[in-house]
Amino acid sequence: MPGWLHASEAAPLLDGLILISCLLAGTAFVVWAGCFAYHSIRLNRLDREAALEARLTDELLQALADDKAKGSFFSGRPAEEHTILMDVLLQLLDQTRGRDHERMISLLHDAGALESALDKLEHSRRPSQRLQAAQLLGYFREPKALLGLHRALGDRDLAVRLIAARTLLAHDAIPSLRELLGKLALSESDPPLTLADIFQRLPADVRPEAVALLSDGTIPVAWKRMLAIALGRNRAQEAFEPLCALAEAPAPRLRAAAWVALRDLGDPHAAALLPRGFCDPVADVRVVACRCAAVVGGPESIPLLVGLLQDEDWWVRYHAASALCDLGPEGQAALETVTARAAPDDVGTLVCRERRQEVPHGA
Amino acid sequence: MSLLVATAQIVGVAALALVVLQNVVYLAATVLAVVEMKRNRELKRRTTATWLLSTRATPGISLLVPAHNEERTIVENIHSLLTLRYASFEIIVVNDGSRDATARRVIEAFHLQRVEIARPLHLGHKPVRGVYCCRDYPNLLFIDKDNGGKADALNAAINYSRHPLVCAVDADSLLDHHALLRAARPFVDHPAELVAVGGTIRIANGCEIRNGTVLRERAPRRLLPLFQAIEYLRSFLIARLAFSRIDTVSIISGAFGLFKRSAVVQVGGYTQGTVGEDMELIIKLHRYFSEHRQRYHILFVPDPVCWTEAPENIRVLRRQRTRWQRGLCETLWKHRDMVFNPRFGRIGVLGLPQFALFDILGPALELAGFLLLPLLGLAGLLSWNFVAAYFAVSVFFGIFLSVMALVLAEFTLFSSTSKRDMISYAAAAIVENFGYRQLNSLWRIEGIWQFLRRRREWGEMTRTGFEQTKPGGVEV
Repeated sequence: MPGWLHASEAAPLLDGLILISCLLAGTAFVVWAGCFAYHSIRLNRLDREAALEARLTDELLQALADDKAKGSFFSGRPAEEHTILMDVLLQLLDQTRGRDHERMISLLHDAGALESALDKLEHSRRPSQRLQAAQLLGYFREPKALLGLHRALGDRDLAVRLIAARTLLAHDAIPSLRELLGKLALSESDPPLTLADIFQRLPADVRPEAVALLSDGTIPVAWKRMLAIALGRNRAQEAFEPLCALAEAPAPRLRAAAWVALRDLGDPHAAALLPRGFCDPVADVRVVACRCAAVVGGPESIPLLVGLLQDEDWWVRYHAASALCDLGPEGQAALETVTARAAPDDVGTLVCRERRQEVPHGA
Repeated sequence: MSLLVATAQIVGVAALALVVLQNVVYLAATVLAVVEMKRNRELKRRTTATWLLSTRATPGISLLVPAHNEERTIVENIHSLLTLRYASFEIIVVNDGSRDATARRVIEAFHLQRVEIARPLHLGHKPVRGVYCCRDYPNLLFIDKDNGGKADALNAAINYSRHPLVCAVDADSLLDHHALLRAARPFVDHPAELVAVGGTIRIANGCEIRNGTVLRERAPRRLLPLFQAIEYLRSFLIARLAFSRIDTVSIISGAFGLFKRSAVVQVGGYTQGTVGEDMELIIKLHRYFSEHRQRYHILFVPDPVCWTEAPENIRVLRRQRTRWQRGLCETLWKHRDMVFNPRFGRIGVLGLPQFALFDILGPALELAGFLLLPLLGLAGLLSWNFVAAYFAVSVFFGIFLSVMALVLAEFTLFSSTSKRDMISYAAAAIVENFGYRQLNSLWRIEGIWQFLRRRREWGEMTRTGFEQTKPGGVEV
């Protein structure tokens, strides 16, 4: 038997292993004990906050009902109550509509909510509090509130900057789209889809600038794609020409976005471009071109769509057949002529059968 | 005789060496899991649930729900899925040739009508008998098809899906209301290269459940599910989080995983005739994107939670664990050219080898260690120091990992866990090391044996249904 299997040379190593294992298990339990204490404190705090929230909601509603909220509802309260109060306010504002909503904002204004939110936005170290404050400022239209939101565009937290940007857009208070994008300072590591939301809220007076950005070579492709889709959804007719140019961009995702936007715009002049879209080497682009044809296409698109019923991609064939159905009796007749001799599992035949029934999926 | 003794000694030494290596790797994994958890917190802050709900930027999700003999729970579970919070999603329930009244129950409960829907047959599957939907629930689609297994049913559902993301959900599982929002976060954050995202599976036994919703989370009251709860936490919050950090996620649970539909179609969907179709799909995705030299990521995020009912008796648990082990063996065998192959990057060099080493070789050596070392010690063929070192590393490291999983859970999943349940979990983290772990190793060896004997069947999973899951006494 090898000697090292006995407690001789290997003994220090084995003892070390035992010691390390025991230490690790012990450390884990110490950490767990800390966690347990933290958990207990947190549960107690949550209970306390729930009770506080109920009390503050009652107090606030009572004060608003009695019109006694003026002036000093926020002053003299401990910091913990401020955070919960903000939560309560945001919830109540979210739940009220119309005259009640307006009245509530006015009463909150008198109660000092605006000053409190501005103070939080400026001085709070906690991003969640600054986020709450930015959301609350969105309910006020005073220059002070807008100024605060403009300052919040420079906040170190992206979530706060985005809330401020959305609120300013809603108030039509954006001086320039470029300036807004500059202040948002989105980096490569930030989610690009956050901009989709911003672009969809662009007010009419910023649109010319947005349209110009479509032709700007310095804008990242992902941004341009979202801008194109947003302009289409907002029916920005002035974007028609740049979108037509974008339909021939080198990046397939940009071409696809351009066709989506052109469909949403619904300008029949786009029909002239359809032959190019139908010949695109990328199947996804041909699909969106077909979907565009369903809206902007005319009789001249029908033979082209019939040709696409032989496309190698199943979804192109499906959307070509669907577009023919959407183009009215002429298109439907063309589709039925083609499918009359087709196999039962032919896409055109399947689309015809799908369109005849009463309960469409995803209606 | 001396050869036998020498062999036994070598096995003993190998068992200690492997258990040390395994625990060093798991220690590193714990550190990585903490780092990944921090990254996930950043992601949560960037993409808040409120924003995800309000924006039109979130990609649509098709929930794929394969059902086979689920008449007891299927209607309740569909109702639960219909209440999920997400901007745009559809539910595709596939009745995979059930022998019970699954199809009739669903059709009657939701007043479904038979329809014709044109969809491409990108992925092969058994014939579809009928497709059903209704006006009241426009995002519900029911497919009745011949029996072909879970993978076959999922492939059929993928063919009928309309959204860019597909989410495989077990019909006997419950999703948290925010699970889709949370799982979709990484797809919103970095849509271009992300292929799949896995979420956490938790044990529903003991929880208060009504109308398919977990009203109050509680630790299981019986020992066996409680041990499994610890095991799941360890597996999801340490191993998978760590793998996610180093881009080597090699398994996303079949009970809940979100995939880019186009990627799944590209790799030919779920592989039929296998018992580990969930792991097989992930490895196929790794293979495909590595071979095509495309940048891709497969991530795990801990906060989307799917609740599942854990087996409460040894017989069912044994069947489940041997099946899982067979699935693992099948997948590793099928993709054996990827193991230790640097051409497949980290998954080839780190991800798959650790499975081969710790999940195939590990159980045999672990069990051999527990049985052989005391005998060798008693016979005076091995020092007691050696035996003690083996037990200390094996048990105390095990306790360390389980307790660390509880610590990580505190920051992700245990938002409303009671103090009593915290103590239950901590106690289970100790006790499971004495008996339960060794039993698991035994079942794993049995699974390997069944794989070697080419046993293929799934075996029945006996479920009691969630509404029956009520807090009860402690099982002895």
